[in-house]
Amino acid sequence: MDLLLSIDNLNVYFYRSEGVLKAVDGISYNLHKGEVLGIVGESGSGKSVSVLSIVRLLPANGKIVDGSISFDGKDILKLSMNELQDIRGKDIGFVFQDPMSSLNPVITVGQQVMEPLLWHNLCSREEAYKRAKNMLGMVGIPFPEERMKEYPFQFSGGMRQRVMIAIALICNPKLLIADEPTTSLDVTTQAQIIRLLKNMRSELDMSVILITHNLALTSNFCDRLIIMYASNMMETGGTKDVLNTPSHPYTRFLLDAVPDIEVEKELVPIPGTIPDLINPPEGCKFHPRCPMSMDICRTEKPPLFPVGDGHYSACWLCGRE
Amino acid sequence: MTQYIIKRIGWIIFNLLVLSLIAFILIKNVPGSFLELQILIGQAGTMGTGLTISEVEKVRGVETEMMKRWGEDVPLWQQYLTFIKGLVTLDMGPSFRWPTQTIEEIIANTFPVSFTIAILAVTIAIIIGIPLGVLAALKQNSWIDYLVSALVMVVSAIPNYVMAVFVIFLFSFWIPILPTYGWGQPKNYILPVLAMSFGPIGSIAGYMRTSLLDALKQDYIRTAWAKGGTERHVIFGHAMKNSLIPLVTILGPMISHLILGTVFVEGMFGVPGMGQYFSQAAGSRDYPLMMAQTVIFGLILMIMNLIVDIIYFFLDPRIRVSRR
Amino acid sequence: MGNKKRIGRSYWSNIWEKFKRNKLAVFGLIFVCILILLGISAPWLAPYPYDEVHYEAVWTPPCREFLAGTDQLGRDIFSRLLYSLRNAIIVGLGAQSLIVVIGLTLGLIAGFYGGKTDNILMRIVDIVYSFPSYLLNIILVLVLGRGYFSIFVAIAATGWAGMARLVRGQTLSTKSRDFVEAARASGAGNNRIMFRYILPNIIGPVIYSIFSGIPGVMLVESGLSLIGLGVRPPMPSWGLMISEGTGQFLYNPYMLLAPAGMLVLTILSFNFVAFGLRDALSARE
Ligand SMILES: Nc1ncnc2c1ncn2[C@@H]1O[C@H](COP(=O)(O)OP(=O)(O)OP(=O)(O)O)[C@@H](O)[C@H]1O
Ligand code: SF4
Ligand SMILES: [Mg+2]
Repeated sequence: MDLLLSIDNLNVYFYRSEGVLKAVDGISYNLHKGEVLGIVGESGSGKSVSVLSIVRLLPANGKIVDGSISFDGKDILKLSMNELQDIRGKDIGFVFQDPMSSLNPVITVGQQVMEPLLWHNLCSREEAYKRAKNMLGMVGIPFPEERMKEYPFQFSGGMRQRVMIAIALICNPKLLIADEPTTSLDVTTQAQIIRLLKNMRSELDMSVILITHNLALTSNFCDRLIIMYASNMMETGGTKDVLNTPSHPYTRFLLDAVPDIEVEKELVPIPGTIPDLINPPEGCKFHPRCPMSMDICRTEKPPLFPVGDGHYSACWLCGRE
Repeated sequence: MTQYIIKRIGWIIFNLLVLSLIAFILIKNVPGSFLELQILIGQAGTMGTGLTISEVEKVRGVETEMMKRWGEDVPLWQQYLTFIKGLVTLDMGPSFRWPTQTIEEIIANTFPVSFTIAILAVTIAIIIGIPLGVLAALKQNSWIDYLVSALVMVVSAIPNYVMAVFVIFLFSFWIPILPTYGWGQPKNYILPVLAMSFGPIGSIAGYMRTSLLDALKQDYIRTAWAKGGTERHVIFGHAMKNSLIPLVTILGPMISHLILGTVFVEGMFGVPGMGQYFSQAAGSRDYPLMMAQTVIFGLILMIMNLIVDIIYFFLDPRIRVSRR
Repeated sequence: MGNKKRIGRSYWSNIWEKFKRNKLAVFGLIFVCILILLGISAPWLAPYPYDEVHYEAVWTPPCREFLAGTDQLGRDIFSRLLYSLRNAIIVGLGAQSLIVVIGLTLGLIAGFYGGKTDNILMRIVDIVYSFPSYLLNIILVLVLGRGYFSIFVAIAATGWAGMARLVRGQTLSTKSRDFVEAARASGAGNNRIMFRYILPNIIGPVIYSIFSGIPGVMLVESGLSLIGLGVRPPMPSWGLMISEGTGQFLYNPYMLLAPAGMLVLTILSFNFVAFGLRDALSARE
């Protein structure tokens, strides 16, 4: 398979009045064409920041201080603003977490779906209108032509998220990034949205990065998983390997919190609290909450040890010998 | 919508009744009368607002007529009804201070003047204030931003009657091309409008800066960037729409304040507007005129608020659609 | 935040920390303190009585003897400025206190009891809001006569509505918080809940509104005295001094610049404090 996205040693810092916050602390991964990657972790672990970096849409006080991001052969961090705008929305589609606030309340839904086509000068207005109508139909919005004249507040949460997906897919992107697309929706709608994403992926033949809290959502959609904790990658590997033979204590915690993988269920909080990322613990970031922690965990940060075919784990338990 | 407007008009009528009742009771209790004051001034030999003896005689005539009209010998509630009737039938009788004019004539003559000036001043403020505010927001924390913010603060702290003096001084000495006093020609409008537009420029620029900065922080703006929008697309196609709509809500009160809040400025430039008439009416205890003006101005204020709400209704789809 | 029982010292020290970081606001606060001190001590600081005429020295430009010059009667403008400042501060604080007392009480009652009480009170607020406040101010001063108290009343008569609306909104959102429910469950009476539990929690926005309202009140007062309805002369006031200075601007500009400058400076200082407070209050995490 061809490589689409390659991230190497990404470091993102936030400059806050209390100090520097390392939101992403040296993350590396590859994504192949057609592959679906799931990123899982608790709130605040740096999932959103790591993918926002791919389109350079970090908040003003956040900075990519080190690393490289290569997308489709282009060095994202070296692109000019124009080149970057050419990629955003056209080659990379983004679906955000909160469909309530991610659509402009005073612009019609139709206009908002057509904009990526128009802004990239991909087609005429009439053509854009037709394509937007078709796309809205494809993502499951009934009466797309009528609904295009309406405003976001006239749509329910699930419908708005479908609109967001239509916007992200309208230009046939090579990569779809869905940042917790289902968190604010009820359970049935969540399943529908994930099913929709799955269908659209096979129909449009693109790569997907799916960010979620919910391990259960990943099992029958993602090819590979990344487990993140406190700005770091804890474990990565094929979805089956990670879910069936988890080798990192944190992943086991996450799995314990989901008793039956078929039952969709939110994470049960793990005992202890997420570390303060401005003054993070030394060594393994998980050691204050890890039942297996050893002396070395408190002083030295574990690298990613191979534990299987393409399966890695950042835990001293996996690489002591 | 029609239902909403009808309901609002109903409340406007109710509010006006309350306002007129309060104004009526207050004015009935003001110590001192117009005639006493004028005679006092006449005796003291002061000029200015004092009337000549023959004018005093005329006023005495008017006052006897007013006495008949207001019927001091009938109960208060009947006097109030007479006043309301005068308002409704547009027959409010003569003013004390300007005995040859009826109150409705005075208002019909002065309101268009004040209104024109207010509208012009707000128009200028919009034309200058919006770009300034947008510029400051887009260059946040640059010297342009600091300059605009400083300007906004200083200008909003200088009362317009002080600004008027500066304007007059500037145009009578440094650039003596415009008339600083007088009325009748279109160019007489320029300086008063200029003097009155400074405050609104400051508030519009300040408001625009905050509301654009606020809009730019919203999630849907991040979406627009993620869709590949350029600055033109994202800022002028999206954020500006969101930040301009609430601006409408401050324009209504701004215009109503300019119509009357400029009492002093009108006096300085010799503008025959409502404000000047009101302050002179107050100074000379011309109660009928004051009362009528208070109610009329209340009406203007309420109508302005209604118009603003209607415009807002058409601009903001959230309200428009949900009320339809 | 949700469970915190009463706002404690950490709340204030937090706001103070944020406020301190805003240099303009601190600057404004220092100025406000200086201005208030100057105003209070005007009778002791003023080199001359405010109404002492010096016919031999009319229209003297600023000099060592008369720091800000003299007016058309030879009165010392510097002394008159100090008294005007005192005057503006008395009116600003006095009228604002009245506004706070009325607005806070009615706003608390409306927000706390809700229902019919709320409907009626808010209808009254709406009506007062639709009044041409400036005209009513003038009429009220005419009715009550010129003097501090009548100016307070005239300004507060229309000014309370904004405060009541703010307090009502804050009360509504505080009323449903856990600690209020807890207090109610433990048998605290209505008055106790309103003043001991809700009030301390809404005091931040109220203080902001007090500071941001003072400049407006001062401008109304100077407007009133500009058309001869402020405090009774010869007691000076900025409005009066400005109107006296206006005619003299070409010949003796200091007569206008001095009071206008003081007025603008005072207003700016209060505005800076208000802006700083707003930022410190809204940046609460
Ligand atoms: N604008 C910002 N300024 C400062 N810190 C930020 C900012 N945005 C995010 N952070 C910090 O960066 C860290 C990672 O945030 P991120 O949004 O990536 O978390 P997340 O894993 O996406 O969590 P969630 O599941 O809640 O979306 C968090 O600790 C957060 O506090
Ligand atoms: S490295 Fe140590 S602390 Fe970290 S997860 Fe492994 S055992 Fe636990
Ligand atoms: Mg996130």
